[in-house]
Amino acid sequence: MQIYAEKSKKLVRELKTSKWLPPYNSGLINEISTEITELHGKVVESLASQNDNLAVLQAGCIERNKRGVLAYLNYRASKLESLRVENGPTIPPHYSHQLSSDEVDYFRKYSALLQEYSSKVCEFVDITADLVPPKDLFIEVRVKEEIGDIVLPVSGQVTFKKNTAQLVRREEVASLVRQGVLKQTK
Amino acid sequence: MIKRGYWDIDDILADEEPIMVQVTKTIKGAGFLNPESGELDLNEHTRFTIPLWLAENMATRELAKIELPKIFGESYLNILEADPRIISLKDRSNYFFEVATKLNDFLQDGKFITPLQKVFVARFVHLYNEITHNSDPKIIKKLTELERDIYEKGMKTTREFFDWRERKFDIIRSAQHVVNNAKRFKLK
Repeated sequence: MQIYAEKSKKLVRELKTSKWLPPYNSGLINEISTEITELHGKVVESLASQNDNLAVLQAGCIERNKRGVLAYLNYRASKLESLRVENGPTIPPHYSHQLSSDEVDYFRKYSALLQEYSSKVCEFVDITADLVPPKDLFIEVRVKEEIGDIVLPVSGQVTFKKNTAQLVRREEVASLVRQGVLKQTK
Repeated sequence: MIKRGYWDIDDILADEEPIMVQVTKTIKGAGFLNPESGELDLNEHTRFTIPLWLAENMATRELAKIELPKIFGESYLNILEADPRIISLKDRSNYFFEVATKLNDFLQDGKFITPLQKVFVARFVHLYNEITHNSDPKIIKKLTELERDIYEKGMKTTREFFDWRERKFDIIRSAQHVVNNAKRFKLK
């Protein structure tokens, strides 16, 4: 005989064992939802036979399964939100295959909302930027990955070649530094 | 300090710790909770192990009595009190203190909770010294989930404090998880 609510435990444990997020486990979630349906039928049965104590235990198993799945989804969603703030509006390529299509959609919509809010607060301020006021307008950065030519809003076209050091405007490259493409040296 | 909440995954996992209970009332058809016995009903006076959440559920309805787990027994506590710092609590339970506080609501003679508070404080002071002076990363192996959380936050705060003292606070750092994962990605 199977033990109920084992699967939701496995699901939650997956979150703990991975560094960022485990691949979205839709198979296990489906199995849990069938288990819940099965348990629900049993609860109705035991209520009909006036076996209250049994019904309570079975309902407890349902609640437990529900809590496991909801916490799983909520945890993933909050991780995505912090990814948006730390890493900008794009999902890094090595992350995207760990997300379900719904989660990618969630990320995009959250990103759009954040941008809308940002533009309402002030047109020229990025609300995900640092809270600490900068000491200097310009910072020295070392390029960690090959980027090539990019166009920045104030400085215009800049060429970032790998392993070169450059002096650039702080606010323009802040997101690149946080993504780990550039490294601030001074 | 201990977080408790519907959404908290640590709280959920702490609820999974196995607990020995004794059934006080026969429940018809509830044999599925104890598959080893192979019986259809859950008989009175049966002793068996179930996850903590189920034990709580049964104990609040007076269907079963929770027994004090061995890890909070007197002999174990004596060892712990002798030197709380060097013992690996992780081997006993990853959620040692969380389980203790949860059980305290259900066991009337809450004798085990007072020594545990002392143990926690002693371990915390030790942890604080490790973080601020010479941090030996091996210490992580002996910590429970809660203590590891404290350790990681402490290390981060110490680092930020040193940055501040050397006037380096405006350096933009890359998000730590991005760096870790990018490295792994490259290796593949």
